[in-house]
Amino acid sequence: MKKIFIISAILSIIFIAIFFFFPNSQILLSFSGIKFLAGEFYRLITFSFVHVNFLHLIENIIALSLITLLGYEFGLKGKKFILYFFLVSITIALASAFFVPVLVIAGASLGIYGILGALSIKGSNFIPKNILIPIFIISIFYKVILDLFSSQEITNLDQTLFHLSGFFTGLVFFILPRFKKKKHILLNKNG
Amino acid sequence: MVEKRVKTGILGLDKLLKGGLLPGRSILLSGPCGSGKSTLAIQFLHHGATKNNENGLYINLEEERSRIIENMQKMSLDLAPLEKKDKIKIIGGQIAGIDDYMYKIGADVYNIVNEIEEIVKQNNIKRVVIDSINLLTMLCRTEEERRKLLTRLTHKLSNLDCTSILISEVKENTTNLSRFGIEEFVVDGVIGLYLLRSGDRFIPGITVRKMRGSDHDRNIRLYKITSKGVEVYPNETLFTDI
Repeated sequence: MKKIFIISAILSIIFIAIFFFFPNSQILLSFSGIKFLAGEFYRLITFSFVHVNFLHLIENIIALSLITLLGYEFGLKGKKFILYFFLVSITIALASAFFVPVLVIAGASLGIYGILGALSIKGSNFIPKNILIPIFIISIFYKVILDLFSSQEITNLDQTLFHLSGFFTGLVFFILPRFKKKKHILLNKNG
Repeated sequence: MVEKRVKTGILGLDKLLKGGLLPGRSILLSGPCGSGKSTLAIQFLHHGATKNNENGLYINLEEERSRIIENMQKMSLDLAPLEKKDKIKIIGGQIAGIDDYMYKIGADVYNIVNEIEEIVKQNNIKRVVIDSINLLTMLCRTEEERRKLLTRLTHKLSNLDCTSILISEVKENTTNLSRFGIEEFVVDGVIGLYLLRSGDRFIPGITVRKMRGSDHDRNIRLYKITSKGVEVYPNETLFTDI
């Protein structure tokens, strides 16, 4: 079985286990700049495993499953999958600690949208970037769009902007190493 | 004032081109299999390296480097000593391997264009042959990408003052000049090789279809592939049995 599926399954099991068997998880494991700056550094990792309600948990497990399938299709390796997940979560959490320390963050969605951002470039081998990136961005705004249609009011905007920042952080993390060194294809394959 | 020309080294062809190719231009060399495209293109590089002190780059996306050298040796085109003296750089490899490798390292086809540019700069190359452009453009997913690649490649080579031959493989008995039908519009010139069937033999014919900024012969002329390479007969019009 491919590592990406195993990693995704393990993450889902941890989400479920923490939600059902760790009732104080929101207080003890979620992230806030204040707690982090007070020395509770473990929250930088643990907040991704905490979910505030059942719907939040289900949404993120479904999103994680879809992103796993997409990652598999686009050839994303398991270790990169987990790397983007934590790298993006940690980066956004650190940024929020310095800019909005009172904000409490919980959930896996930052990491999930980070992977989506990386896939928007990785997948351009299959679907052109100018199609893939707009589709992914629209998918990030689905809650805002649904709200607009159902109640003519915009809610969930702060959450959506967080997801969007996760998406772009993942995209940047994917692109950055490409600038590091020149890629030699012809010379490396010269028979 | 006498206009500077890049001699191909094929006497008859230079006559058809009214003295040779214009420097810094990209030429599409189109023809079916066995028409001598690679031989003609390598003669162009060989001539540049031996007679004009112009370094050459040959990129073959189908054959291995050693095989290319071996094949050309049989045509009296000894590339190995020229390669040793850094007068000609030969790059060979199978396209399938390149495609897989690109995917593995997350590269795209524009990385190849940048790499070609880097090789040209590093080795002070003035003549480039890409064998074939069909295989290179096959790495693109869309027609838009293909056109962009060709434009980028020809512009970069032109800016580096490189005269380039892009080889285009076409099916037999076709009037098409390229596989995707866009290559001939992007380049500055087109030379067509034909194998016209006449009874139980093929008569090889060569023509200059297009040459921006230069006058040229417009007839189909006879050529032959000999043990010394391609020979063009600029005064012999091609005829078929009537």
